[in-house]
Amino acid sequence: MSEISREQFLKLLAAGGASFFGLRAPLVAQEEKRGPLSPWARLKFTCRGGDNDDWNVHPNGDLNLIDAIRDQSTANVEKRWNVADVARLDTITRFPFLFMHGEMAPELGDTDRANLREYLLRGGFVFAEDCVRGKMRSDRSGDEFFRRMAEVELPKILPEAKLELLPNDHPVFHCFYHFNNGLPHMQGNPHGLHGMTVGGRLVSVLSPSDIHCGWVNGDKWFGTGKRLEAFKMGINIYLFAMSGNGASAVPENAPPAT
Amino acid sequence: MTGALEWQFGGVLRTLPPMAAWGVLWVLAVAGLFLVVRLYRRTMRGLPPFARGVLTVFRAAIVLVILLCLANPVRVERRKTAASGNDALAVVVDRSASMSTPDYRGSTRLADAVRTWKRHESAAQEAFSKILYRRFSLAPSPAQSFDDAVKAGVPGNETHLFSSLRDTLATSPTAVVCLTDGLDTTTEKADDLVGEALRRGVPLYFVTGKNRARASETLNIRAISAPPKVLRKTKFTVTVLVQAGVARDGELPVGLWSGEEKLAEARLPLHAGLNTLTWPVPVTSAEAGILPLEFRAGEGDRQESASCTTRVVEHTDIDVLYYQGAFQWGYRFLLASLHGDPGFRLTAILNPALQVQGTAVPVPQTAPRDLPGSAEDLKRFQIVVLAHVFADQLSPKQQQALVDYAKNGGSVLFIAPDSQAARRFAGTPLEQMLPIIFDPPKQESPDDLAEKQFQLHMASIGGANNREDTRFANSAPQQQESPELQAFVVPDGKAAGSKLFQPGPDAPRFSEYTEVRSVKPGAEIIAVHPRDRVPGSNAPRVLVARQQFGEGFTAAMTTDLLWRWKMSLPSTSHTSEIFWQQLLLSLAQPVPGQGLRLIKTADAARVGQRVTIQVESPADLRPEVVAVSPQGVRKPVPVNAATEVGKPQLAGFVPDSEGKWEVVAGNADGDRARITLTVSTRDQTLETSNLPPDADGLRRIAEATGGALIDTEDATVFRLRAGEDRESPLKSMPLWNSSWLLALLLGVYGAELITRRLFRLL
Repeated sequence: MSEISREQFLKLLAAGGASFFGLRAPLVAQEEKRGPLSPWARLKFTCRGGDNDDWNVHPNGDLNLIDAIRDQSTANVEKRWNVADVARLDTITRFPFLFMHGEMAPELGDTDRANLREYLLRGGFVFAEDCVRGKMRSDRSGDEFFRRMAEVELPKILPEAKLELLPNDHPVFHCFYHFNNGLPHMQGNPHGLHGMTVGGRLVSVLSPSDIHCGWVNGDKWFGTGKRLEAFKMGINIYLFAMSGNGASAVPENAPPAT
Repeated sequence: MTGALEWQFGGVLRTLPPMAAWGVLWVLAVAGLFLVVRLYRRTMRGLPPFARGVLTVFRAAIVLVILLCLANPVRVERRKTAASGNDALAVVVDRSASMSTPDYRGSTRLADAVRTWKRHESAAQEAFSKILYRRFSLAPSPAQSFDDAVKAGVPGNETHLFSSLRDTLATSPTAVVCLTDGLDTTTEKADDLVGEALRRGVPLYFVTGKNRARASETLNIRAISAPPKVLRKTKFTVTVLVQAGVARDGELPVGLWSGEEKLAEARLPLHAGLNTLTWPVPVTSAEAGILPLEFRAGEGDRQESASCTTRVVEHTDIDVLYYQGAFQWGYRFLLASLHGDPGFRLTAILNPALQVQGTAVPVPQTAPRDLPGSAEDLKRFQIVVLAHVFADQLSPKQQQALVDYAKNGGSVLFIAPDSQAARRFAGTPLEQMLPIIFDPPKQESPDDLAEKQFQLHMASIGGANNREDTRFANSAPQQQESPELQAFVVPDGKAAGSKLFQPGPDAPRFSEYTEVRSVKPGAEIIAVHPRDRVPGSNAPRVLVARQQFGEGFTAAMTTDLLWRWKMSLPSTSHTSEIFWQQLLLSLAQPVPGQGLRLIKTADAARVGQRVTIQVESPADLRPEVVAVSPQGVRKPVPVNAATEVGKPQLAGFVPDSEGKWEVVAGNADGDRARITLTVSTRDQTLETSNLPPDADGLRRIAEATGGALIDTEDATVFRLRAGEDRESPLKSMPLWNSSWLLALLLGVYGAELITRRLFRLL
């Protein structure tokens, strides 16, 4: 018989007693999430033509991912949708991870770029993703956000950094769930997941595949399988960023995603 | 084997006598049964009498079993083994010189001990089926009879008492009687002997011998141990082993010096007889260079000294094992902070999901998958960082491994989880080694519901709606809270913290912390909270503290991993990196091993007789050894290379004059070692110095193993034992943890549910 403490034993008894009266036993309810709080934040930025309402597309997708991270990993991600304004360094440096999402091409000012540069050099991480079809105001190319970020903004933010396609054996595809075929694709142009490296440290990833929309209403929009893949990839990216500079090894007993 | 049953109650009943506790239980049982019958009656109103009876019996049985569990009776089993007829008593005779040296009346300690033993011998012969005899000075050897053990051979010049008794225990006797004066001329401690005797369940009896020989005092520094290399501004331990033989109780003044600076001093208590004393001294290294260390014992003409050097270096490789309880951002920033110094090698065990360990390492094939359960496996790391771990994540074996690891020279940095979780370490082995005492937990703030409501609303309308998205995004910043960063403060009147961080604007800043009630006595407070005070004492809450634990260090940090501080600093600032590196450096133990060291192989030296000194030296450096006479004449001493790898080198010379000699060694790297040596014309060793018998020490050993010191004519020691049964240690088992009780409870509970369903009450 495995060891059971007196406290656990009495809790089980109490739970049994509570069931006499059809009560939900709080004593054996799911244990509270533990560990230091980890924040999530959406980056607020300006898009083509000075648009200020593209950055905030589908915030409930973020909240759904937070639930998934909390359910499936030990990370105690705070259930709060924070906003970090790229124009103000003090707001973005409160968060170690920023999610930058939109379908229109971002148009960052010099201050914005300097802020993001400083943020990344201090140790922050940016996950930028093309929404493809959000508020339906893109140029219909399917990768307007991605192209602008890859070709203009990221090179201007960190000219010394390298932006390149991440291979399928990169730790970001294996640090929690295994993605043997690389980035799962929801919609848009499948350019693959790109990463920006400075001094051997991956500081940002750029996705063209809109896995965020998989978090929003993936069941209906892409099917259950795709939705699950989207969540798993989101978890991988968040946990990969937490685990440092890419030295995270594959946990052998973690289940494969694909 | 026979069994006996006793009852020990838990909870509030623990303090009551068993009869009273049973009385309380009976009263509660009757009251419970009354309530069951009364409250259940209405529910069963429509049932036939038989059904009522069955359900009432089931319900009453449940109440009674629960009551039994709450009372927590513990079944205590005493295993008894009848005397087997194969009982062997080992009688071991100390045949060293100290036992055979006559006093002015010609009486020896051995003769006195033999007289005492003869009074008990017949009782021992009755109690044991056979008696085996052994004699020893260096190692035990069998003897044909008691007379043979006492008389054959010549007295030896050393006494290896403890090792000889351990050898005797290996022959599996039922009990051991040793005729000795308690002198052991080695540096071995009695603890190993006691442990071995307890493990084998063999009681030790001692028969002491006395005479009236005049005692002469001895003082001998056996060894001074210091690490060959330490980091600058870190703490390390210098350990001194000294033997002092005195005629009566007293004190030995000792001091540790570095050049002209006195690092530590103490007065070590001495009891009459031979004292083998270990004096560990924590020392803080200064800047890089050679640090001379000199130990002095005694006063005036009787002062002895020994010295060695330790090299203080700027950098060294430090292997850190990082173990975190849950995924968190602190790890990313700690990793980045240590990244700048290639001397740090971080192996991380992450817990990405429950029951899943991921390992982030530079060399994956050598990394442990989980926190090792033995101190041996932890030994290759100089520091273990436990970041926000939870008490139930670490098995008792893992916690004990950490305790043993720290005791043996490792360092543990415990970064406390939240107050609620930290509280759960109460009573664990881990808590006992930490320098802090936690406060009871506080209520946690309720969950934020606004996000949840929005999420549910959006799910109900298909996940996406541009107008709702914009409205929510615009309102979010108003709900946002930015955690306040607060700075570490150095405690009043202490400058320790300033070695690790610069007080003021550059001090480390944190946003979350665990409330700590106090630090343990002797712990060093490095940082405290700027404002928060412990209720009632007005003492500031401790944020960082450390203490020496065994030969290692334990430290506790009650804040987050300071990533918000790092993010608040300009990217050009290295303050955060410096703090982390300094903190870990201050905990890193010196590299194992020994630099240049001289060790005496004998406790005395005589004019005209060869003196042999053991020389321990780094393998690649050949030391030069010189003997300096009391007149100042320097005499080179040849060093013989070790005959085997790992064996020490030996240096020998023949002193030609009486007085205090010095033996000095040095090598090309600047390491220096020195010992003093008193040379006399008489052959005076510990064996011949007539130190008083250590009756108290022998009594302690005997009583710890279940034996006795036989120093009187009372011959009941063995008579009482004759015909008695031997009892093994107690075995206890809580009833609530027994499978049959659990099965009974669940069985009765299940039966009641089924019966209720049968009678349509569910």
